[in-house]
Amino acid sequence: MQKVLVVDNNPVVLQYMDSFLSKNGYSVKTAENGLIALDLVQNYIPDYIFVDLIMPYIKGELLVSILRERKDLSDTSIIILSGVAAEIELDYIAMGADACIAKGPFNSIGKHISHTLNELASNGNKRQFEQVIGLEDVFKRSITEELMVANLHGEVILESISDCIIELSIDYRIVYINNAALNFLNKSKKNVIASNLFNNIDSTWYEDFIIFLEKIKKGETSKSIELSRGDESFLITAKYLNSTKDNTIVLIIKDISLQKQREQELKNKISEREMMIKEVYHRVKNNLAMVSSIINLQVGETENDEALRALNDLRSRIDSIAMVHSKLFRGKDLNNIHLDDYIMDLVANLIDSLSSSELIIAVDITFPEVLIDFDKAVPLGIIITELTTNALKYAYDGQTSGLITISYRDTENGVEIVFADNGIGISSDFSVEQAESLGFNLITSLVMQLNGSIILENKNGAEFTISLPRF
Amino acid sequence: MAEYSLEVLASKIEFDVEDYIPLIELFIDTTDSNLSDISAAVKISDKESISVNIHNIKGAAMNLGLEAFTVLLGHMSKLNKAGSFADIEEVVLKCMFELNQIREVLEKS
Repeated sequence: MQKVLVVDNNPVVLQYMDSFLSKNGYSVKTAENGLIALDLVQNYIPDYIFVDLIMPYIKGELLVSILRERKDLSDTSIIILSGVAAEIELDYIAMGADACIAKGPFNSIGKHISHTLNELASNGNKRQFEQVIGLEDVFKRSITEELMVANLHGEVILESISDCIIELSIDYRIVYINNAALNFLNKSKKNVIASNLFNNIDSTWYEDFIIFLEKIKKGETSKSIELSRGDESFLITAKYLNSTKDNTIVLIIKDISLQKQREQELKNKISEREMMIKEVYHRVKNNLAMVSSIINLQVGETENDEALRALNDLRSRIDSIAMVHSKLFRGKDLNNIHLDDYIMDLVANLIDSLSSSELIIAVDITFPEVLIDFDKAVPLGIIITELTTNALKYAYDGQTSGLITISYRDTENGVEIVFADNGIGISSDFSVEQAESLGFNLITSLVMQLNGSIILENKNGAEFTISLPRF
Repeated sequence: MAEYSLEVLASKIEFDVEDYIPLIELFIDTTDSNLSDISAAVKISDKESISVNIHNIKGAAMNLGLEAFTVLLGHMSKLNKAGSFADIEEVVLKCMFELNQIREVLEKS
């Protein structure tokens, strides 16, 4: 008994063909798509295969070309059975088919099938029909033409792009693959169509890929992964095409090796630049330390009290600037330093160098973690240096201990830094803005530079409130 | 609106009624599903899905000699091409009506 395989996604056609061919003495198997057909022909060599053209998963044209390349099917006649034949010109011989029957009413189809099978059988299945059979029974319409043309346009685009496109059935069998993806896998189309994706990709990708694909099937939002193969890097995105039946997953594999290489080059350049900037901070800090040391030497040679005070004040100011450079050099951030950390170290250094054994000063600094940029850190450091120096010199006259409190708080319009001592306080007729000393002149001009303001109040000692815009 | 008779439909494609019935039953089931898919595709303006489903119904309708369906599907295809999705729904309803007519004839047989 001669064997027939019918491949068509329309169950009405499959049932008709099964019934019609069985009644005419053929052994019939049916497949509702190309994947099932390719599975069947692994162990079943039919004498005739009828193939529809528009089907889910593997299109009829591709299925015919894959079947035609199979050596064990060289004696099998392939007949295209499609309504498309009535709408567009089909070069079915170029596809690899032996005949093409236009789908019309079943009575006509039956007659054409019988005729075609008889003709083929009498020629040892070797005859090729030069014209589409049955066109006279079908009126021309253009329902499918639009679909075919749209598909053709889409395919031309997909075949010419550099990204790899692979369409998978939900059990990960390849149902479509473009030229770029074939090059990527280094395989031919006939070898990969209907095969499992995991038989075609690098085994090191299995674990990540399976997790990724399962997420895609569940509709999870993580829609891309990066995987590498040797020195090459790939970005893989996926889209789950959900229809009432025949769901598929479309994979887009993009070679991002060049992009990755450029990213690395850019990172290296940024790193080099950061090293250079750090080196500059380091050198400035060292130079300021040298200036501070020279002033210190000068202090040792100076006997005039006023000159000594001026030199010590100058050294404190230079040290406060040097400390900003030191923190920028040591920190990870090239532009910002931690203000809380800076103020603590700055005040601790000043108290170490300026307080004496007769005066014990405690410090209470309440600062949250605040980042401040270089341009603001330097003037603020000098302001705190001046206020601390001033408190140590004048607030505790005749006293043996004291407390300096520095706090920070956010306000509606910006921030406030409050510097307070518990010393003797400042005369009520003293005005910060009108003070003539270099220290207070520096304070007022640097507060102005920071677009802020400063208020002095006597509250169990002197209390300076510096209001500044938010950092 | 077409008047349906199983004998007339079967004779159009030179079938016996008993051979025609299982095929038309299968057609009703698959067409129901295809029409639902078209309605769903209309809601998201999915032209390709509408085309595929029209193609599926059209093939079987022509095989079974159901000319009324072929005409309706031709009209639906033109509306799809023009992007007149709201009007497609109306043709879907007409197809469902035709399908019910055939279903009633089948139930009476």
